[in-house]
Amino acid sequence: MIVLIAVLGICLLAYAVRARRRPGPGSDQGVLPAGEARDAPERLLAAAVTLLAADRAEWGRAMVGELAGLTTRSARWRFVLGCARVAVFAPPGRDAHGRTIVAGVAAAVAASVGLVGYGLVRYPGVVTGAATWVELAVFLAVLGGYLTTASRVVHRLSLPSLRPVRVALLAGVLVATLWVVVGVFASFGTQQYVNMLLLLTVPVGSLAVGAAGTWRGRAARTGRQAVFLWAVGAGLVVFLGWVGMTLLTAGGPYDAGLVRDFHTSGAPDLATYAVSDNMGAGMALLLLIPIKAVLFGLLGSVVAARLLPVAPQPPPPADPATT
Amino acid sequence: MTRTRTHSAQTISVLAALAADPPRWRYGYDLAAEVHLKSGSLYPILMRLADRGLLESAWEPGPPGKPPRHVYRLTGRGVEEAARVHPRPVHGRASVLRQRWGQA
Repeated sequence: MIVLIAVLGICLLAYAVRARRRPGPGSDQGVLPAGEARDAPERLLAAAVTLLAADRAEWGRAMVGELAGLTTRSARWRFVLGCARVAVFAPPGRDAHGRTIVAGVAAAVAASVGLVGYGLVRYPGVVTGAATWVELAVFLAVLGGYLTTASRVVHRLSLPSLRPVRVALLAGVLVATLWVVVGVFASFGTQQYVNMLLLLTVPVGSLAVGAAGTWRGRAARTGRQAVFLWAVGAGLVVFLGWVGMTLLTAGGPYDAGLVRDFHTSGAPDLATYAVSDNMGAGMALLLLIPIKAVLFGLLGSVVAARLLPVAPQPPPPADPATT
Repeated sequence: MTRTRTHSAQTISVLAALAADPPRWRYGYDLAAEVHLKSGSLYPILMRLADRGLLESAWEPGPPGKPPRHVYRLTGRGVEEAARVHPRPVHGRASVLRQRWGQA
């Protein structure tokens, strides 16, 4: 579990560092005079406005322009701190897009918390000590990270990118559904073979999302955005399905290995032990599935970018003074 | 059907300040100082007013070496809205609140 968290942390850190180097839609690049020394408020504001949604980028430039007119240090700090608050909590624009995606992720996160909460109330024996609370804290942090990731990706989505991202997500759902239906209902011989097919659902769906997003958006960046949203969604859906089924069936069916381990576990009853075991596995899946989805999704995006004619990245926005 | 929206006291004070001299372009910071609002409160109000077509903005070239500045004024609809929610131009949040309190 710790290794998984470390891997995820490193991935997120690398992504954050990369995103930090890349100017966002609200970037001040081209607005601040080049070569001029910036003071701390100016640097803070320049970083804060990158958090603004694409449709609010002009407001970020307006804040930067306004700051240049302030001379006293206290006034600059007060102004910048207020603007930073706006950058984080800016109201969505009239043309804000992708809010349904974030709302869907938020609903799935809330449902995940609700399911685990119900599990703890229904099976209080699952809580075995401080370690359980630490795991729950990590679980909540991961969910918060997923919601933040989805929100940030949607925040950075330009309107022309939204449609390809939606198409890519839909393509991923269709491919994954078809894969599951064929895997479950077609006669492929042994159960092991069917299980193997089901395990491949996430990689196949992720490849489809990365490829479709890149192809439809004619940009690898759009493919990556679709992949991150898909990864978060896939992790949450698998977790909800897994934990939901666990609570519905009280952790059953109980196989011989589970019954054998139960006798040495110290759990009050078999159902509590099975639910605890499955909820732990569900939390591991909540980390593993998105990692797997991101890896295969990015692979799909890279392949699509190489095979299909993809347009170059759009030029930076024009100087607002000339528009 | 036209939907009638209510405004916060802060929004009304911004509308009133802008309606005092509708053709004049205003800087954000000056506006904030006039209505005693911090930037963290002013910009969301300006964003919402602009989203609703009540506020127009433009870029004013800055002095050499400085970035351009955003300037604001009410649109025709904005002037009408300001007149609807606040028939007389009133400067400052306190006076708006006083008037609202008097109406209650």
